Amino acid sequence: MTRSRDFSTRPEPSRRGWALVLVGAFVFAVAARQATTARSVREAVRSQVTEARRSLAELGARLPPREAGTRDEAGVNTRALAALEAPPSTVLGDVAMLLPAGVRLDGLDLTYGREVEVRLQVVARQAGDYDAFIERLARSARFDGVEPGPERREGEVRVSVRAAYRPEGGR
Amino acid sequence: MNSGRLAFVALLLAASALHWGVALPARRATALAEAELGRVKTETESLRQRRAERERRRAAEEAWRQAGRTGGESPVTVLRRSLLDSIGGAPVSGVRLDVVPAPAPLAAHARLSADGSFDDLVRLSQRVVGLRTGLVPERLRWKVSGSQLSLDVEGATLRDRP
Repeated sequence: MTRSRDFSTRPEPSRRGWALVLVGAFVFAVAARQATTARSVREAVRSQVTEARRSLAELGARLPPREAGTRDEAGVNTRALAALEAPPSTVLGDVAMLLPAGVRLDGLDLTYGREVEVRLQVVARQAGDYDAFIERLARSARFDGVEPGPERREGEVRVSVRAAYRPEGGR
Repeated sequence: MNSGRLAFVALLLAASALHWGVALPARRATALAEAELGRVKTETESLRQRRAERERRRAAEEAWRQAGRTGGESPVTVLRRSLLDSIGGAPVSGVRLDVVPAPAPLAAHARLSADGSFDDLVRLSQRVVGLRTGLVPERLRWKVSGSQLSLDVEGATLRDRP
Protein backbone atom coordinates (compact mmCIF):
# COMPACT_ATOMS: atom_id res chain seq x y z
CA MET A 1 0.00 0.00 0.00
CA THR A 2 1.36 3.33 -0.96
CA ARG A 3 0.97 6.34 1.25
CA SER A 4 -0.20 9.47 -0.58
CA ARG A 5 1.35 12.77 0.35
CA ASP A 6 -0.81 15.86 0.80
CA PHE A 7 0.71 18.80 -1.17
CA SER A 8 -2.35 21.03 -0.76
CA THR A 9 -1.27 22.38 2.63
CA ARG A 10 2.10 23.71 3.75
CA PRO A 11 3.90 21.51 6.17
CA GLU A 12 3.59 22.50 9.81
CA PRO A 13 6.86 23.98 11.20
CA SER A 14 8.77 21.52 13.19
CA ARG A 15 9.94 22.16 16.77
CA ARG A 16 13.29 23.36 15.36
CA GLY A 17 11.40 25.68 12.98
CA TRP A 18 9.49 27.22 15.91
CA ALA A 19 12.74 27.73 17.76
CA LEU A 20 14.17 29.61 14.77
CA VAL A 21 11.06 31.78 14.57
CA LEU A 22 11.38 32.58 18.28
CA VAL A 23 15.05 33.52 17.93
CA GLY A 24 14.27 35.64 14.86
CA ALA A 25 11.40 37.32 16.71
CA PHE A 26 13.71 38.05 19.66
CA VAL A 27 16.38 39.56 17.39
CA PHE A 28 13.74 41.64 15.65
CA ALA A 29 12.32 42.82 18.95
CA VAL A 30 15.77 43.87 20.17
CA ALA A 31 16.48 45.72 16.90
CA ALA A 32 13.09 47.41 17.05
CA ARG A 33 13.65 48.49 20.62
CA GLN A 34 17.11 49.85 19.79
CA ALA A 35 15.75 51.76 16.82
CA THR A 36 12.92 53.24 18.90
CA THR A 37 15.31 54.24 21.67
CA ALA A 38 17.79 55.78 19.19
CA ARG A 39 15.02 57.83 17.58
CA SER A 40 13.63 59.04 20.89
CA VAL A 41 17.14 60.00 22.12
CA ARG A 42 17.71 61.86 18.85
CA GLU A 43 14.43 63.73 19.25
CA ALA A 44 15.25 64.59 22.88
CA VAL A 45 18.70 65.96 21.95
CA ARG A 46 17.23 67.88 19.00
CA SER A 47 14.65 69.50 21.25
CA GLN A 48 17.46 70.40 23.69
CA VAL A 49 19.33 72.02 20.79
CA THR A 50 16.22 73.98 19.80
CA GLU A 51 15.74 75.14 23.40
CA ALA A 52 19.42 76.07 23.76
CA ARG A 53 19.33 78.03 20.48
CA ARG A 54 16.20 79.86 21.61
CA SER A 55 17.76 80.88 24.92
CA LEU A 56 20.95 81.93 23.09
CA ALA A 57 18.91 84.15 20.77
CA GLU A 58 17.05 85.64 23.76
CA LEU A 59 20.30 86.30 25.57
CA GLY A 60 21.75 87.94 22.45
CA ALA A 61 18.71 90.19 22.17
CA ARG A 62 19.04 91.22 25.82
CA LEU A 63 22.78 91.98 25.53
CA PRO A 64 23.40 95.62 26.43
CA PRO A 65 24.52 97.53 23.32
CA ARG A 66 28.25 97.77 22.76
CA GLU A 67 29.63 101.03 24.07
CA ALA A 68 28.57 103.57 21.53
CA GLY A 69 30.89 105.73 19.55
CA THR A 70 34.52 106.43 20.09
CA ARG A 71 37.36 104.32 21.32
CA ASP A 72 37.85 106.95 24.04
CA GLU A 73 34.39 106.18 25.43
CA ALA A 74 35.05 102.44 25.41
CA GLY A 75 38.43 103.05 27.05
CA VAL A 76 36.87 105.15 29.81
CA ASN A 77 34.29 102.46 30.35
CA THR A 78 36.87 99.72 30.93
CA ARG A 79 39.12 102.04 32.99
CA ALA A 80 36.16 102.96 35.19
CA LEU A 81 35.62 99.30 36.04
CA ALA A 82 39.33 98.60 36.58
CA ALA A 83 39.53 101.59 38.93
CA LEU A 84 36.60 100.33 41.01
CA GLU A 85 37.77 96.73 41.16
CA ALA A 86 41.43 97.49 41.76
CA PRO A 87 41.87 100.74 43.70
CA PRO A 88 45.55 101.75 44.11
CA SER A 89 45.67 100.93 47.83
CA THR A 90 44.46 97.37 47.16
CA VAL A 91 47.07 96.78 44.46
CA LEU A 92 49.80 98.22 46.72
CA GLY A 93 48.67 95.99 49.58
CA ASP A 94 48.84 92.91 47.37
CA VAL A 95 52.33 93.85 46.12
CA ALA A 96 53.53 94.51 49.68
CA MET A 97 52.33 91.07 50.83
CA LEU A 98 54.60 89.40 48.29
CA LEU A 99 57.81 91.27 49.18
CA PRO A 100 60.37 89.07 50.95
CA ALA A 101 62.62 90.56 53.65
CA GLY A 102 65.58 91.28 51.35
CA VAL A 103 63.58 93.07 48.66
CA ARG A 104 62.43 96.70 48.47
CA LEU A 105 60.79 98.80 45.77
CA ASP A 106 62.41 101.96 44.41
CA GLY A 107 59.40 102.75 42.31
CA LEU A 108 55.94 101.53 41.42
CA ASP A 109 53.74 102.58 38.50
CA LEU A 110 50.09 101.71 38.13
CA THR A 111 48.50 102.32 34.74
CA TYR A 112 44.73 101.88 34.44
CA GLY A 113 43.41 100.72 31.09
CA ARG A 114 41.79 97.51 29.88
CA GLU A 115 43.84 95.96 32.67
CA VAL A 116 45.79 97.42 35.56
CA GLU A 117 49.43 97.36 34.55
CA VAL A 118 51.94 97.29 37.39
CA ARG A 119 55.60 98.25 36.90
CA LEU A 120 57.89 97.62 39.83
CA GLN A 121 61.43 98.92 40.27
CA VAL A 122 62.74 96.07 42.39
CA VAL A 123 65.92 96.24 44.47
CA ALA A 124 67.04 92.96 46.09
CA ARG A 125 69.99 92.51 48.44
CA GLN A 126 70.79 89.10 46.94
CA ALA A 127 69.85 87.21 43.80
CA GLY A 128 68.05 84.60 45.94
CA ASP A 129 65.76 87.28 47.43
CA TYR A 130 64.91 88.52 43.95
CA ASP A 131 64.21 84.98 42.72
CA ALA A 132 61.92 84.37 45.71
CA PHE A 133 59.98 87.57 44.94
CA ILE A 134 59.55 86.70 41.25
CA GLU A 135 58.39 83.21 42.19
CA ARG A 136 55.82 84.59 44.63
CA LEU A 137 54.64 87.13 42.05
CA ALA A 138 54.28 84.49 39.34
CA ARG A 139 52.41 82.15 41.69
CA SER A 140 50.06 84.82 42.98
CA ALA A 141 46.48 84.68 41.71
CA ARG A 142 46.41 88.49 41.77
CA PHE A 143 49.16 88.94 39.18
CA ASP A 144 49.44 87.69 35.65
CA GLY A 145 51.86 88.02 32.74
CA VAL A 146 54.88 88.66 34.95
CA GLU A 147 57.75 89.95 32.78
CA PRO A 148 61.06 90.65 34.50
CA GLY A 149 63.31 93.09 32.64
CA PRO A 150 67.10 92.92 32.38
CA GLU A 151 68.96 92.66 35.71
CA ARG A 152 71.63 95.09 36.83
CA ARG A 153 73.94 93.75 39.52
CA GLU A 154 75.90 96.37 41.39
CA GLY A 155 76.16 94.74 44.78
CA GLU A 156 72.36 94.71 44.79
CA VAL A 157 70.09 93.29 42.10
CA ARG A 158 68.02 95.96 40.32
CA VAL A 159 65.26 94.89 37.94
CA SER A 160 62.18 96.46 36.40
CA VAL A 161 59.28 93.99 36.52
CA ARG A 162 56.00 94.30 34.65
CA ALA A 163 52.80 92.46 35.57
CA ALA A 164 49.05 92.75 35.11
CA TYR A 165 46.87 92.96 38.22
CA ARG A 166 43.87 90.63 38.42
CA PRO A 167 41.33 91.92 40.91
CA GLU A 168 39.55 89.43 43.15
CA GLY A 169 36.24 88.47 41.57
CA GLY A 170 37.18 90.48 38.50
CA ARG A 171 37.82 89.42 34.93
CA MET B 1 13.44 25.56 3.10
CA ASN B 2 10.52 25.16 5.49
CA SER B 3 8.32 27.98 6.71
CA GLY B 4 10.10 28.26 10.09
CA ARG B 5 13.41 28.95 8.38
CA LEU B 6 11.76 31.40 6.00
CA ALA B 7 10.24 33.31 8.91
CA PHE B 8 13.60 33.33 10.69
CA VAL B 9 15.37 34.77 7.66
CA ALA B 10 12.60 37.33 7.14
CA LEU B 11 12.81 38.43 10.78
CA LEU B 12 16.61 38.71 10.60
CA LEU B 13 16.34 40.81 7.43
CA ALA B 14 13.75 43.06 9.07
CA ALA B 15 15.93 43.43 12.20
CA SER B 16 18.91 44.24 10.03
CA ALA B 17 16.93 46.83 8.10
CA LEU B 18 15.83 48.44 11.36
CA HIS B 19 19.39 48.51 12.62
CA TRP B 20 21.01 49.93 9.47
CA GLY B 21 18.09 52.01 8.31
CA VAL B 22 16.78 53.50 11.53
CA ALA B 23 18.98 52.96 14.60
CA LEU B 24 22.36 53.82 13.07
CA PRO B 25 21.22 56.99 11.23
CA ALA B 26 19.42 58.09 14.42
CA ARG B 27 22.60 57.57 16.47
CA ARG B 28 24.67 59.53 13.93
CA ALA B 29 22.11 62.34 14.01
CA THR B 30 22.18 62.27 17.83
CA ALA B 31 25.98 62.61 17.83
CA LEU B 32 25.76 65.61 15.48
CA ALA B 33 22.99 67.17 17.58
CA GLU B 34 25.04 66.64 20.75
CA ALA B 35 28.03 68.38 19.15
CA GLU B 36 25.75 71.25 18.14
CA LEU B 37 24.31 71.37 21.66
CA GLY B 38 27.82 71.64 23.10
CA ARG B 39 28.69 74.46 20.71
CA VAL B 40 25.48 76.37 21.51
CA LYS B 41 26.06 75.92 25.26
CA THR B 42 29.64 77.23 24.96
CA GLU B 43 28.42 80.18 22.94
CA THR B 44 25.67 80.87 25.49
CA GLU B 45 28.16 80.80 28.36
CA SER B 46 30.51 83.13 26.50
CA LEU B 47 27.63 85.51 25.73
CA ARG B 48 26.51 85.39 29.37
CA GLN B 49 30.03 86.33 30.51
CA ARG B 50 30.23 89.16 27.94
CA ARG B 51 26.87 90.42 29.09
CA ALA B 52 27.89 90.39 32.76
CA GLU B 53 31.15 92.15 31.89
CA ARG B 54 29.35 94.88 29.91
CA GLU B 55 26.83 95.39 32.69
CA ARG B 56 29.62 95.70 35.24
CA ARG B 57 31.44 98.24 33.04
CA ARG B 58 28.30 100.28 32.51
CA ALA B 59 27.49 100.24 36.23
CA ALA B 60 31.05 101.31 37.04
CA GLU B 61 30.93 104.12 34.50
CA GLU B 62 27.59 105.28 35.89
CA ALA B 63 28.99 105.28 39.44
CA TRP B 64 31.94 107.46 38.35
CA ARG B 65 29.61 109.78 36.42
CA GLN B 66 27.43 110.22 39.50
CA ALA B 67 30.52 110.87 41.59
CA GLY B 68 31.76 113.52 39.15
CA ARG B 69 28.49 115.44 39.02
CA THR B 70 29.05 119.18 39.07
CA GLY B 71 25.52 120.54 39.47
CA GLY B 72 26.06 123.08 36.70
CA GLU B 73 29.43 124.31 37.98
CA SER B 74 32.62 124.06 35.93
CA PRO B 75 34.04 120.52 36.16
CA VAL B 76 37.53 122.01 36.56
CA THR B 77 36.47 124.12 39.54
CA VAL B 78 34.60 121.24 41.18
CA LEU B 79 37.48 118.76 40.77
CA ARG B 80 40.09 121.29 41.92
CA ARG B 81 38.06 122.10 45.03
CA SER B 82 37.46 118.42 45.76
CA LEU B 83 41.16 117.57 45.40
CA LEU B 84 42.24 120.51 47.56
CA ASP B 85 39.78 119.35 50.23
CA SER B 86 41.29 115.87 50.09
CA ILE B 87 44.86 117.12 50.28
CA GLY B 88 44.12 119.58 53.10
CA GLY B 89 45.69 118.44 56.36
CA ALA B 90 47.59 115.56 54.76
CA PRO B 91 51.18 115.37 56.12
CA VAL B 92 52.78 115.70 52.68
CA SER B 93 54.95 118.39 51.10
CA GLY B 94 55.78 119.81 47.66
CA VAL B 95 52.20 119.52 46.46
CA ARG B 96 51.69 120.46 42.80
CA LEU B 97 48.19 120.41 41.34
CA ASP B 98 47.11 121.04 37.76
CA VAL B 99 43.47 120.69 36.72
CA VAL B 100 42.40 121.38 33.14
CA PRO B 101 39.30 120.75 31.02
CA ALA B 102 39.30 117.45 29.16
CA PRO B 103 37.58 116.38 25.92
CA ALA B 104 34.43 114.23 26.04
CA PRO B 105 33.65 111.75 27.45
CA LEU B 106 35.91 113.19 30.18
CA ALA B 107 35.12 116.39 32.05
CA ALA B 108 38.34 117.51 33.76
CA HIS B 109 41.86 116.13 33.87
CA ALA B 110 44.11 116.43 36.94
CA ARG B 111 47.80 115.96 37.69
CA LEU B 112 48.87 115.92 41.29
CA SER B 113 52.35 115.44 42.77
CA ALA B 114 53.41 115.29 46.41
CA ASP B 115 56.35 114.17 48.56
CA GLY B 116 56.06 112.33 51.85
CA SER B 117 56.37 109.02 53.64
CA PHE B 118 55.10 105.85 52.01
CA ASP B 119 52.14 105.53 54.40
CA ASP B 120 51.15 109.18 53.98
CA LEU B 121 51.34 108.97 50.20
CA VAL B 122 49.26 105.79 50.15
CA ARG B 123 46.66 107.52 52.33
CA LEU B 124 46.78 110.54 50.00
CA SER B 125 46.19 108.32 46.96
CA GLN B 126 43.18 106.79 48.71
CA ARG B 127 41.77 110.25 49.37
CA VAL B 128 42.26 111.77 45.92
CA VAL B 129 41.41 108.78 43.73
CA GLY B 130 37.95 107.29 44.06
CA LEU B 131 34.25 107.93 44.08
CA ARG B 132 34.63 110.61 46.78
CA THR B 133 36.34 112.97 44.31
CA GLY B 134 35.12 111.26 41.14
CA LEU B 135 38.74 111.10 39.91
CA VAL B 136 39.16 107.98 37.75
CA PRO B 137 42.85 107.05 37.91
CA GLU B 138 44.90 106.88 34.73
CA ARG B 139 48.33 106.54 36.22
CA LEU B 140 49.93 106.59 39.67
CA ARG B 141 53.67 106.61 40.18
CA TRP B 142 55.54 106.19 43.46
CA LYS B 143 59.21 106.99 43.09
CA VAL B 144 62.14 106.97 45.47
CA SER B 145 64.81 109.58 44.82
CA GLY B 146 67.47 109.66 47.53
CA SER B 147 65.65 109.70 50.83
CA GLN B 148 62.59 111.28 49.29
CA LEU B 149 59.46 109.41 48.17
CA SER B 150 57.16 111.13 45.71
CA LEU B 151 53.78 110.33 44.25
CA ASP B 152 52.41 111.48 40.88
CA VAL B 153 48.74 110.95 40.15
CA GLU B 154 46.98 111.48 36.83
CA GLY B 155 43.29 111.00 36.39
CA ALA B 156 40.08 112.47 35.06
CA THR B 157 36.45 112.92 35.95
CA LEU B 158 33.68 111.74 33.63
CA ARG B 159 31.23 114.09 31.97
CA ASP B 160 27.67 113.83 33.23
CA ARG B 161 25.17 112.49 30.70
CA PRO B 162 23.22 115.30 28.99
